[in-house]
Amino acid sequence: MIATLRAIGFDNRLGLRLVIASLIVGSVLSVLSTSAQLGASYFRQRTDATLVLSRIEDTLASPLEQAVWTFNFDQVDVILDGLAADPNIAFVELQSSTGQSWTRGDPDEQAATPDDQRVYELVHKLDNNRSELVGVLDVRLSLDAVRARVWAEFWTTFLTNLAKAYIAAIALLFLVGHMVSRHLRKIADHVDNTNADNTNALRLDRAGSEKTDDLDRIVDAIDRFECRTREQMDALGNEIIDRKQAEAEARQALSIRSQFLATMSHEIRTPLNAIMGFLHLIATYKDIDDKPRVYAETATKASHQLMSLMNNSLDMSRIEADAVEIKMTPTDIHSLAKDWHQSAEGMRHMRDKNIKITLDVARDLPPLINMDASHVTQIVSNLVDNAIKFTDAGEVDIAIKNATSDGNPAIDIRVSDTGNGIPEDARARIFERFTQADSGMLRAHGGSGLGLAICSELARLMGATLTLDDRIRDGFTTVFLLRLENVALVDLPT
Amino acid sequence: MTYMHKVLLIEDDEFTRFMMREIISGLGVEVEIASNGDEGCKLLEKQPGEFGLVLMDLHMPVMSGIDATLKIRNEVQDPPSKVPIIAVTADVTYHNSSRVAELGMNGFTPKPVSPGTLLSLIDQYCAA
Repeated sequence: MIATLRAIGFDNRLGLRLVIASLIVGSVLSVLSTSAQLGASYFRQRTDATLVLSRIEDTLASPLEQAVWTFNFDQVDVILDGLAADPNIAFVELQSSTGQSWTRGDPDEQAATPDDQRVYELVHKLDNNRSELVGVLDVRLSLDAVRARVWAEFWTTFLTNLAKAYIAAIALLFLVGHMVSRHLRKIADHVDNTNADNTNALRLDRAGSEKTDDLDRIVDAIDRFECRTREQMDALGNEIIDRKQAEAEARQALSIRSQFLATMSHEIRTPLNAIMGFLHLIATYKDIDDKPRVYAETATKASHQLMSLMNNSLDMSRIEADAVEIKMTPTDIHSLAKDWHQSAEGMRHMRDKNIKITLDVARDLPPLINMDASHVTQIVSNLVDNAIKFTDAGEVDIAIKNATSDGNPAIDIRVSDTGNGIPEDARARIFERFTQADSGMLRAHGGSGLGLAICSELARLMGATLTLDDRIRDGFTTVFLLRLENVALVDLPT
Repeated sequence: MTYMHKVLLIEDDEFTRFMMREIISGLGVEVEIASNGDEGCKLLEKQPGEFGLVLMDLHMPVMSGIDATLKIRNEVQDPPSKVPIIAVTADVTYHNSSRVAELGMNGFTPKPVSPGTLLSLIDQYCAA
């Protein structure tokens, strides 16, 4: 049942709204049409009734006057009965000049407020062109009966009209359901189901007609729209394919580039290592003269610069190629700190500096922290190498402490030195690329000016921050602070 | 100082090998060389107990330092399976004691190797 109703569109809101609107309009129209119809009927009947009054003068006045004149009272009764037989005539009274009186109907009840009243003077024409009043006829018209009839008629007519309107509305619902709603639903389903895979054109199941109506126009518009959309989708699809291909090519190029960088890095470093080793051997050879020793030592320094320049360039290229992979692993920072200290000693030895390297690891550090050990090591060793490079006397200190950052545990690693310090005006630019505190330094110490930029980028990549610490303490002139964030281990390895 | 044990240097680059051999022998320590992990393992098997220290390059053709360490620790006859192995690498990923310990090595030294570091390693492992 419900399915049937649904099939004919009874469940669709459009149909229902249409029906409700039709019912309201139908009801109003029924009232109006019924009123008009019955109003017309009432006026017609009233006119008819009034006409009866008018005709009395033409048709009855003369015979009645004759009957009274001739004292034919039977005839008077007949005529008055005939007059009173009209249902609209409520009261008739005839008073003759001779004192007789006839009445029909009840003057108090029905004719007290007559709708119409005529008083006729019955005049008998004498031969000598004179006339004599024989009586007065008073006829009162009441339309109460007409009104009652019309009123009774109103309800039947109104209900009939209403029923007609309702039947028409329901018929309209079926018709709308058949002719419009089902097509609209089909259009909606079609549009819903249209996608890249389902490209059937929209066709409605309608009786053929030469003339195009609104539905045909909608179907055509949807067809054209789908055609256009499909073309655009195809174009877009091709573009996506092209882009993906370009992206894959770019990624491949990038991977080739970082592969190349890694290979180059290894391939260049290996012979350079050998060169540096041999230069060292020459410089430390026991039987060598002073001049070749100085040459070898100078060549050693030059090759160190070359090495660091190359390492920095490769690192920066890797950062720019997005080829830096950050691996956060649980790390024993105590052991790592010892490694840093050890390699710092190595650097000190390499740079032949007579300074103290100190390591200060807080006792309350967690046993394992989450960090990218190799990149942190790279940053720390760069900072330590810088510190050693710029410090000729005194000490370089590596300090590791617990800290908090926004309420979360963090680790602060400070690399401090007692060297020249960084001039105030250079502090802001120290992490920019190709920057050294002053250009004289470049000549004095070499370096690409990339080291701190790399450190800062690496720190950023692993969610850490590298800053120049303004809180100079304990006689240190330069303090770098590397703050490692998100160091807490979510799961402690068992 | 006299040294009881030899050093096994496993390094694929000829220049580096020669350079390191010169440095080590300059310290008065006997050095044997291998150009990849596989050769290194064979030398260890042939002369059990002779070596006090293995200097292991990590990136090598035929057999990498990591694979060679795994093989030495698991397959080579005792006592060479317990021989100290130090990773010699420029790769900062391995400049991490815990990391190399996980791979079965006793420590690491970064490239370029400084003679001072080599000396302290040899003192530590090859002394009488």
